[in-house]
Amino acid sequence: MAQDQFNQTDFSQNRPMYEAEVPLPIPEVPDQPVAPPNKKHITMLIAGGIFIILLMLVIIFVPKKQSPEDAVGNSVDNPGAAGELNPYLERIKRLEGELKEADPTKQELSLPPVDMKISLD
Amino acid sequence: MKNLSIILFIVLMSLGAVAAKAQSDESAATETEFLSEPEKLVDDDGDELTQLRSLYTLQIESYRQAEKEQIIAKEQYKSLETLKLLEQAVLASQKAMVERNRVLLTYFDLLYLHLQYTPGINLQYKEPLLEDLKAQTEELRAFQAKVEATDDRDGIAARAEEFSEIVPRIESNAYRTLTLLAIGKLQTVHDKGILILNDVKAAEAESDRSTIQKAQIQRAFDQTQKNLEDINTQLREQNDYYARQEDKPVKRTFYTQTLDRLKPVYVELSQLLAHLKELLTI
Repeated sequence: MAQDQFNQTDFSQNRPMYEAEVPLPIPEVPDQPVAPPNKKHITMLIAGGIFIILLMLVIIFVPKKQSPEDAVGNSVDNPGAAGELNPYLERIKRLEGELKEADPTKQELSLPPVDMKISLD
Repeated sequence: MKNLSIILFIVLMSLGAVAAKAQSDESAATETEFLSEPEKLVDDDGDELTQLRSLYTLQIESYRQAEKEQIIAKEQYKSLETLKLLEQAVLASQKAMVERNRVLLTYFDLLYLHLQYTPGINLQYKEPLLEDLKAQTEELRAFQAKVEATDDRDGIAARAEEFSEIVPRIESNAYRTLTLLAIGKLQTVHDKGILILNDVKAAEAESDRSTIQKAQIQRAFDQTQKNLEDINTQLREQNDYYARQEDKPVKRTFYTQTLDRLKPVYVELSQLLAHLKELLTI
């Protein structure tokens, strides 16, 4: 008895034949209007992009912060010997290089590391 | 919308890359400039010097190998004392002596070239020392010929004895040369500093400054001039110190003492160059 109650084959066979299936009503969904593109959003994006591009251009082309040496080099154009002093700065820089090589604590050409007492005894 | 974001992203990345490249190019250019600046004083005859340096490095390597072999051969002979091991020890000792002489010969050639082409050294000291270096080289060449002809134990012992008599001259000539080179390099910087100061003074004379400004820069010139004179006095003292030892054999201490005395000169020259730069900004 309990088995008959759960027999799915019997259930489908006992279904009323030739009965037309009643379609379920489909709820009508009203057409949603397509949202127009957010113009404000795009404008903001483009403005942001242009700002960043300008920022990059400024980084590339605006001269960097001057070092003290550059400052000296530029400022020498102004005073008395106008325009003539830059070569002096170059000479001083070269001389600094020579001074570096003349550092008494870093002398090269020391005696070769050889044994001065090679013998068999 | 999405496409626009992608395009913007790509544009920004490209600009970033261009900016990074521009920065790195600039820094690389600066680096190259500073690397090429401190050129050696003596590289006017660059080829010979470069070749000698390479040769010296190779010869040091060969010597080290020969020295190792000599130590091993000597130890083996001492432990077993066979005739075969004696022969090997003699040959290894001879080879080590030959390699050592090669190193020393090239070293003195290098010293000679450096001394010859380093400006700022008093000719009164430079020329006799160049002669001494030549004589030293000749002495080493003669000794080298004797070592090459040596093939027995007594011969090796005799060469070792002879070489011990040469060593003080080798050391003396080397340390005297190194001393003069150290003084000469600093003297060169001092002399070039004077030239720059004189040129800046000449350029300044043509400028049209106010009387107050002229007085100010004149005081700066005077101070710089005084510093240069102080440095020159110290360098002259070092030359005098060298002169007092010129005819005596010197040792390493003579050289190291001179270096110690030159340290304040170096510091003052650094200060002087800073002052010269400052002069250009007044």
